[in-house]
Amino acid sequence: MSSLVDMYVAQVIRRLPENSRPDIARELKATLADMVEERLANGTAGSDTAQAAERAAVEELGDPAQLALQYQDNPRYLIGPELYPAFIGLTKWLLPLVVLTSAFVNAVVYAATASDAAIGGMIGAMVGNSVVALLIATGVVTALFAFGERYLPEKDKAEMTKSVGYVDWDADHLYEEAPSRRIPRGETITSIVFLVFLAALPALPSSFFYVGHLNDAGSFVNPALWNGWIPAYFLFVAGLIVVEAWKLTVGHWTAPILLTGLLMDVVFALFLSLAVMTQDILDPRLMDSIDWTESNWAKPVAVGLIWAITLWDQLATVKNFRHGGALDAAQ
Amino acid sequence: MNDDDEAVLAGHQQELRRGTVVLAALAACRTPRYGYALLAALTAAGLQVEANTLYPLLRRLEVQGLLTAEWNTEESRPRKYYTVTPLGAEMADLLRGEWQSLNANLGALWKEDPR
Repeated sequence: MSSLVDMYVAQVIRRLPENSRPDIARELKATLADMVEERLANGTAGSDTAQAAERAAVEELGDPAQLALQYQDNPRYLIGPELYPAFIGLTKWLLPLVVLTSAFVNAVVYAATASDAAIGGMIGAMVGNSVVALLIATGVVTALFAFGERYLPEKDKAEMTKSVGYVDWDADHLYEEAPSRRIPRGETITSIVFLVFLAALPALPSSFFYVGHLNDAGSFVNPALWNGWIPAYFLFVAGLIVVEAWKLTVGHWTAPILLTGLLMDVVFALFLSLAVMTQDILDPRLMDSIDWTESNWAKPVAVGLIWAITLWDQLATVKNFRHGGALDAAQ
Repeated sequence: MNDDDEAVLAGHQQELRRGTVVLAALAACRTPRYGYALLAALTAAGLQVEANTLYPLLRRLEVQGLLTAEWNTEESRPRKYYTVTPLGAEMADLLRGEWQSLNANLGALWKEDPR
């Protein structure tokens, strides 16, 4: 029957690389033998028999798995302090990009291939596949960095830390940020996405929203409007997108951007009001099936809504413009 | 002190002690020592060292070239003796100098505070 010491040493070294096993085993056995000997010689409490002394000795050394970990040089973390900033810096932009790209691609593929395209199905395809894409991307990046933590030479690691700007920073970098009146990039990108959706509205078939049977899966918008109103609508939305793109490239508020944006909003609101007041916006076939006769209040309410939204948007924009400079003043 | 404060104190104490074990080991190994005897010597000197920290540390110092190890098979039980190398001795001297200046600086700082 093997003694406790033998069992203990065996359990430690089986977790260690082969070439270091004999030496560590020999040393551990000698050390444990010394510990047992001392306990027996001194009559330490609880170590009256050899068995008890052995037991106490291995328990003093503790869990063989933990001891083996101490002997190994493997770091006890996935990604260490030198690589962590680079890891965070990368995932911060890569993962949102992966999600957005996946959502977009899946939306396009779904629209192109689904036999009965409907918004529920599209959302399902986008969300489902994007979640998977996000998880895979996270896993791959983490695994790559964990691998690098263990196998990258020290000076390469230092280079990576430098590239994120922690070590190599000097006062000149302060000028790079141009903090005055910054427009958050996320805001403009969201606006552009929303505007693209707005532009696509006239083209969406009603079957997408489950009411295709009402007008043969035609568009919600009156088909007669394609003669001139809808192209004009596209032009306006394109103009708004251009303004957002301008905001994106410049990155901070300037008077021209502000004024052009405000002006475009007002002109667009005028155009929409005109369209609503003089034309039948909705497809007449839809109206027939619902059996709803447009009473007198529908159009003025719509125009009122348009201007309410425009006004609110203008106020928010001006507020952004004024508060964007607030960070400048030392408060 | 409540339990949380005790934990905070323990953390700071560990940080304070962690660096000194290396210096202590190098100092003690100016004469050849084997693992268990070294632990006993350090404990006798009043340092708190755990066995499962010390033995792997000795191996690491050997890999770094600060200690050299030799199996002594003359006695009844073969034992692995560690001795400090010239490089190790040099580093130990530098670390000791560091330790002494830290001690002096802290002492001066402590004196400044009239308590």
